[in-house]
Amino acid sequence: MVMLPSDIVEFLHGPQIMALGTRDATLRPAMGRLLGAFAEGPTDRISFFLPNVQSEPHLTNLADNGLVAMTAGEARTHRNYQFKGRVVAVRASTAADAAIRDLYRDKLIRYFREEYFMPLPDEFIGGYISEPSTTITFRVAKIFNQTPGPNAGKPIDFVPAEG
Amino acid sequence: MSVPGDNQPASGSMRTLMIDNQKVIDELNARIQRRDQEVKIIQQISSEINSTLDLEHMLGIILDSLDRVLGFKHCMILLSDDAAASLSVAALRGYENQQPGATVPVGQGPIGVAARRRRVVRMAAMAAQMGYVAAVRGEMGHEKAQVKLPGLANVQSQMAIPLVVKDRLVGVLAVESAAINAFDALDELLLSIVANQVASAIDNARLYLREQERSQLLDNTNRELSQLNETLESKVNARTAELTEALGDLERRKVQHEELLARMAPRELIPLMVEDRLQAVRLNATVMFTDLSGFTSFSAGMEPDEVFAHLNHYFAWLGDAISRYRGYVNKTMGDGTMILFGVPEPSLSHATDAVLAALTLQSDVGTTISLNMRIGISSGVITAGMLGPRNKSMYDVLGETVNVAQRMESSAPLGGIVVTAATADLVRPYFLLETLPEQEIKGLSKMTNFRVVGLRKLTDDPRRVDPSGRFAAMATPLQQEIEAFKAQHFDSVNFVSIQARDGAFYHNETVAILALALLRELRGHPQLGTAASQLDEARLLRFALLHDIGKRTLDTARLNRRGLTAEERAALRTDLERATAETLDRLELGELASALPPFYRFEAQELTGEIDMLTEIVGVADIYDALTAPKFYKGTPWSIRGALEDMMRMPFAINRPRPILAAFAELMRPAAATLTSGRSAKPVLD
Amino acid sequence: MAGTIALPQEIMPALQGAVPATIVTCALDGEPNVTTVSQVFSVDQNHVALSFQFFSKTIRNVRENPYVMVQVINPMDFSTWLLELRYDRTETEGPLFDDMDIKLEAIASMTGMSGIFKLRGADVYEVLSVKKAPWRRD
Repeated sequence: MVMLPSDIVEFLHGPQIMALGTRDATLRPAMGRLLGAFAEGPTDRISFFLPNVQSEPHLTNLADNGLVAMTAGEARTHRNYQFKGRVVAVRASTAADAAIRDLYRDKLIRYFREEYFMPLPDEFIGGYISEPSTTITFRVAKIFNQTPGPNAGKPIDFVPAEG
Repeated sequence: MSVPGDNQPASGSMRTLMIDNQKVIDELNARIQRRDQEVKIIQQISSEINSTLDLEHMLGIILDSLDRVLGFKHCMILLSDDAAASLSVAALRGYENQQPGATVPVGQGPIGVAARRRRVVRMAAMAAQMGYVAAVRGEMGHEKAQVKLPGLANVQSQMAIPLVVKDRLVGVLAVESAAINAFDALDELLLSIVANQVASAIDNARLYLREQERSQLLDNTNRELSQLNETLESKVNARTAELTEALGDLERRKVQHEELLARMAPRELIPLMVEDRLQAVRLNATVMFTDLSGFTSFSAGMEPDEVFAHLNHYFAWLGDAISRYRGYVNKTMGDGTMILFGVPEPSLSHATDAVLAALTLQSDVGTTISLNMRIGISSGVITAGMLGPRNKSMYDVLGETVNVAQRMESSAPLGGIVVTAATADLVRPYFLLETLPEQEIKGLSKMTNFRVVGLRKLTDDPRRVDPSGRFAAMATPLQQEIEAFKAQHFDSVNFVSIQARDGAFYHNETVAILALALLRELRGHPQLGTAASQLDEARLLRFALLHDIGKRTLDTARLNRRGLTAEERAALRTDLERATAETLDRLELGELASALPPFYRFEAQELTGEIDMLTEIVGVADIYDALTAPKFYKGTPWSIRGALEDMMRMPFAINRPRPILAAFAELMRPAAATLTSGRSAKPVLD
Repeated sequence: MAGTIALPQEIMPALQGAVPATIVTCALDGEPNVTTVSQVFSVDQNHVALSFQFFSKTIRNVRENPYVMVQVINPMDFSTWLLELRYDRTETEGPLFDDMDIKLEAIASMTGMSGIFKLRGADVYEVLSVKKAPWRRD
C-alpha cells in the first residue's frame, strides 16, 4: 500500500494557492489555476478541480501525454510542494466535488482575511470562476519541496507505486 | 465662449472619426498638461530651495515642497557622516513618532543601498518581497532577522535617491508610502531632478556654514590684531577681501546652478525617453525653419565668445517665444533653427501656433538683435522618433514636410513668413495671407506659397461683415476705437495668447465692436433710447472684452473638447464664470463681476423673462461671433443670415418681442436678406 | 522590434513583485514543471526578466526548451495575466542586472540576507503573447 506523506496531504487540504502545469505535443507549456484538491484515504492519487473556463488547452494536453505537474503553496510562508505524475481519470465535477471545492474557497477567503496583508481577499479569491469544473485525478510519481531557497527542487522521500 | 457651437453640422462618418481622434487628442492633451505642471513644479521648488542658505531651514522647505507641491506625504532627508559609513536623518515630514537623528547604515535597506551604489532605488511592494526573502532565510535554517530602520512601519513603496555633488555623497532623499506601487518612473524622474538641486543646495549651505565659521574666526582675529599693531591692519584687510571673494564666489556658483537648470533641455521629452516609450510615430505636425539674415557679416571681427553670447541671447529669446506657443526647438544650425509644432504629442493647433509664434518673432526680433529673420513653415505628415546610432540617438523628425519647410525659409523675404498651401489651408480662417507667384522650388514641382500678413480681424472677414449690411460702413472706425481702448486699458492682457488656447482669435475684440455698434444703434430706439443712453459705454467695453477672460486658467484640452454632455457643458460654464471672476478681481475690476451671473445664465439660455440691457447686448454679440467665427474642428461657420435666424429661435426670443436682438439683426443682415424665425416661417423682418 | 507583442500599460502593476508569479516550463524529455518566482521584471516593450538566486529545475528547463508560460497578478484589481515567453539570454552584468540586483539587495539587507540572497543572473525572455486570463469575473 502506497501512501502520500500525511503532513503533505494535510497541507494539500489547507488553504493553499494551487497551480497546474501541462504541455502540448510540441512541448509548449500551459498554466492553470486550480480551485482545490484532495487525496482521500490510503492512496497515491490526488484529485483537483479545474474550472471549465480553463480546461483548454489542458484537457487536450492530458489526452496527448497525460503528464501533470501541480503545485500547492501557502501565500504567507511561501511553503510549497510540487506533485508530478500521470492522469488516471477525468470527470465532470459531481455535487460532492463541488462541496469540497466550495469548502476550499471559503477556507482560502478566511485565510486571506485573517492571515494576509492583502486587501479585499473576498474579491481576490471569489473572483475566480469555479462553476462548472472538471475533476482530474492523477497518480503521483514524484513530490518536490518547492519552498523558495537553496532546497527548492529537492525530492521528498516518497516511494511511488509500481508501474 | 461658444455656447451653441456644438450645433455645427458635420457628416456622419467624419463625425465618428473626429470623436475617435478627439478621444486620443484629449488624452494626449491631458498628458501635456501634466508635464507642463511638472516642469512648473520643479521650477517652483528650485526657486524655493535656492532662497536660503540656512541648512535646517532649507531642509524644511524641501520637505514641505515635496509634500505640498509634489504630494509626497512621507519624506525624509538623510545626510552622510564624514566617514560615509552611515546616514542620519536630518529632517523628516509625515511621520508621527519619529525624530531626526535616527541612523541608517550604508548598504542597509533601500536608503542604505542607494547610498552605497549611488543609484536610485525604487521599491513597489516591499512587504511581499520581504516575506519572500524571509521564507528563504527560514529554509536556510537561520533565525528571523528583521532590521529596524527609520520610516513607515507598514512601508510598501519607497524611493531613495542619492544626493551626490561632484562624486561625493552628501546624503539620501527618501519618500515612502504604505500603498503598493505608489511611485512610477515619472515620479522617479521628477524626484531625481529635484534631488540634483537639493544636493547642490545642501552643499552650498554647508560651504556657507563653513565660511560663516571662518568669518567668525576672522572677526575674533581681527579684534586681537587691532589691539596689537596698526601695521598688521593691511594684512587683515587682505584677508577680509579674500573671504569676501570666497563668499562672492559661492554666490556666483549658486547663480550658475540656477542657470544650468533653466537651460536643461529638452525637458518635455525626458519622461518619454526614460520610460523608453519614445517610438517612431507618424503624425500631422508643422515644421518651421528660421534664419537670421546677415549674421555672418554681423559677427565678423567679433571675439568667439562675443559671437556665442549674441547667438545665445537670441536663442534664449526665441526659445521663450516658441514655448509660449507650444513649439519645440528641435535643433539649431549656426544661427538657424528648426522648430516643431504638434510633437511629441499631436495637437489641434500646430499650424496656428506656428504662425502665431512666427508673427511674434518677426514683430519682436528687433528688441533682441538688429538683424532680420526669414521664416518658412510647412505642415503635413512627419515621422518623429529617436534617430541616430545607438546611445547617441536624438529626437528628430523626417519627411518631405521638413525639407519643404526649409525651402520655404530660404525663399522667404527678409522679415517675412512664407507658408505652404497645406499650412495656408489650416490657418486661412484666422490669418490674412497673400498668395505668392507660383514658383519652381528646387527639387520639387511648382508650388503656390503664401506670405502671412497678420492676424485676421473682424473687418478682414467678409463672411462676418456683409458689405451690403448697415454695419459694414461703421466696422472699420469701431475696430480702431476698440483697438485704442484695448491698448489704453488692457496693455497687460495678452489677448492673442489667451485666444490661441481654443482658436477664438479676435473674439473678445469682435464682441466689443459688435456690442458698441449695437449700443449706439439703440440710443436712437423709440422705447430703449433712454436706457441705452444711460448705459456706461466704457463699462460695456470692459465687460465685452473680458467676459470670458478666465479661459486663461482653464485646461486647454477641456476648452477644445467636442461633444460635451449637457452636464459637462454646464460645469465648464460654471468654472469659466468663476475663473473669469477671479481674473477680474486680479485686474482690480471686481466691480464687473456682478455682471457675470446674469450673463452666464443668458449664455446657458436659462433667461427667458426680463434681461438687463448689458447682458443682452454683450450676450447677443457673443453668440453671434461664436456662430459665425471659425474654430478648430468646426465645419463651415454659419452664414450671417443663418446665425441671426438661429438666434431668433433661441428660447429667450420665442414668443417674446426682443427689440435688442431685432435691432442687432437689422444692423447685421445683408441688405437683400429676409429673415424668418424658423418654425412659423413667417418673416419677422424684411 | 516591429511586429512583436507589446506589453500593455495596464499590466505594469503586475510586474512589481507584489504577488509572486507562477511559471510553467517543460524539460526536453517532456516533463512539465510548475514553480513560483518572486517577481517578473519588465525590461522593455516586449521583454521581461526573471531573477534567479539559486539554480533550479526552471533554469535548467529553459536552457533546454525556451518556451514558458507565466502568470502574473495585478495587486490593484487582481486581474490575472498570462504571458507566453521565449527564453532569450542570461545577463550577469549591465544596467538590467544592476537594477534587479539593487532591488534585491535593498530587500535582502533588511532581512539579514545581504551577500547570501544574491542575484546570480537575470534571464531575459521575449514576450510571444500576453492576455488577460479569462478565469475571473470582471
